Amino acid sequence: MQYNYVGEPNPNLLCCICRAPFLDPVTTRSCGHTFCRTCLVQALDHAKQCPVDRSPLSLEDLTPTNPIIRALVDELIVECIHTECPQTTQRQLLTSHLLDSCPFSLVSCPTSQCDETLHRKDLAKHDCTNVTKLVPCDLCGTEISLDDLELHVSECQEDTTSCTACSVSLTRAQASSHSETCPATIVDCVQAPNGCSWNGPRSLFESSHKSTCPYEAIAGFFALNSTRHTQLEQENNILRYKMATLEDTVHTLRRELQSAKAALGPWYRADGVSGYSSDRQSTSSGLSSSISTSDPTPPIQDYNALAAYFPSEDTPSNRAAGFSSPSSQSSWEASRTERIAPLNLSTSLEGALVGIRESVVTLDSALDSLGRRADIALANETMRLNEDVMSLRANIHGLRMQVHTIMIERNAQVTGRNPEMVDGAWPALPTGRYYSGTKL
Amino acid sequence: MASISSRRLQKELTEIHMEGCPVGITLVKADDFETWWFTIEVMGESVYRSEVYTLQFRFEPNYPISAPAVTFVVTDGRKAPLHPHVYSNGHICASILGNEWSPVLSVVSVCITLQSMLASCKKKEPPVDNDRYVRTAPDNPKKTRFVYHDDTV
Repeated sequence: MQYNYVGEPNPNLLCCICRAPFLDPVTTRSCGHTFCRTCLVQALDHAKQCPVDRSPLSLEDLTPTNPIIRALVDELIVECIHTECPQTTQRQLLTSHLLDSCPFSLVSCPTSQCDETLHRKDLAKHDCTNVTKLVPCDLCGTEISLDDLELHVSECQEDTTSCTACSVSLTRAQASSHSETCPATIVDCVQAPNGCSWNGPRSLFESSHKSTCPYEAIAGFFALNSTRHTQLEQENNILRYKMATLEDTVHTLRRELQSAKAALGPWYRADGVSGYSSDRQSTSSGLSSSISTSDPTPPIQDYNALAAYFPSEDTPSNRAAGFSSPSSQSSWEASRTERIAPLNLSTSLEGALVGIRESVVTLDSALDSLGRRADIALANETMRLNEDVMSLRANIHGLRMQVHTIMIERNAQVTGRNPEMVDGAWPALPTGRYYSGTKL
Repeated sequence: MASISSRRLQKELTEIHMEGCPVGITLVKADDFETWWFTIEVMGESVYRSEVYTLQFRFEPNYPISAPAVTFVVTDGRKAPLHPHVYSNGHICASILGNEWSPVLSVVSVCITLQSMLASCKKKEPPVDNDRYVRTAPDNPKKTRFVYHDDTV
């Protein structure tokens, strides 16, 4: 086999006779030169000497080359011998590539009847059923493939059978038409679908039963009835279909309505409710008690309950009442409430949400600055108090000293001892306990 | 399937195209794997100074196991060099083209050997038996059984 090597093989691996990488290399025992076995055998046929150094050489002097060299040349990368195949592989694996996987290798069709040879890649597309051998059927002479012959024989139209009822011998082709006319075959009454339970030989039906069958007498009615029945069934089907479509639509609408309600929240109002609620607000002074007790629609109550949390543009009196009661609060807080933008129910839900969000942000920053202000005030107060405490402590210390002096004088008068202490220096204080409080 | 010789010659030709011929040797034609022509010129000081000769190689299908038939071209006004081992019909009496041929030799190495054979010649003179040989010589020099008697050139 000749190989197409990928890239330039190492020149040390080239046989100097064929100038190609070694194939089944052998080395001379006498002078240590390496050649392909076939190259050297041919050269020795020509001259019994080493081609490199001309020293005498015979076939017995050859030894297989070092396995390392063999492995090096066996692992050289070669192209597949089929130029269409893009695969490259180690030289030693090329044979198995060609045998097992190369899509361009020629293989024979695996089915035994077909002796075609084709590329492996075409094997899947290969259909050898149209080239299978045909054999003629013994009975009808039709040419048919061997596989289908058994099936064909079991239903060949020329095969002979006999009628089960009248035992006349006939071919299968005739049998089907015969069974429709055979007078001995047991048949049901033609009115069997309508309820007649009679059955018997065909000859007897025509001669005796047909004239006496009560169902046969009203055959016209049955036909009429069945057509009407079919019509009704069809109509029923159409109606059922329409009904299903409508149910689907209702379902979809209900879902959409619910999601809309959920999205709107308190902004959702059923038709006519808004007028009612505004009426109620304007007349709340007189009618509120009677309406609230007899209110038939809980959703409206929900709405009103929530509306109390949102300033409503159509109830300015309500808003004034809500904010007038805490008027005793400081002017600073009153100014803050002015900064919150009033909710406008006439805008979209989104607009209202944006307004609320802005108000919350304003509140947040205001709260923040309030907190900082409170912190500063607290810190100032604490410092002032600290100073007070310190001055008080100093005062107390002075007083304690005076009391101490008085006590020592009293002691001296009562006991009469240490008279020199009376107008002498301060006595050393016994412990540092008294000073501990003034060290601040 | 390509024969052994054409595979080997293809490689040699690729090498010549890739690396070029040695100095003084140029490839004239190599249209097939049977006959190649080279021109050969002796470089430097020699008796063949600035003379150009043409060499013809003919290859057998089992080249490089068997030696190529190498002759100087003596047609179309070309001449063989006047040399003790070169007959006037172009045949060359050199051992490496006969029994000392080795498959490891190549076209280029034969050219270099012949170039040095000419370069080492001191005196232009024909082989002693030139006339007798030319009269009886076969077309292919390989059919001649030369006696290699002179080891000096």
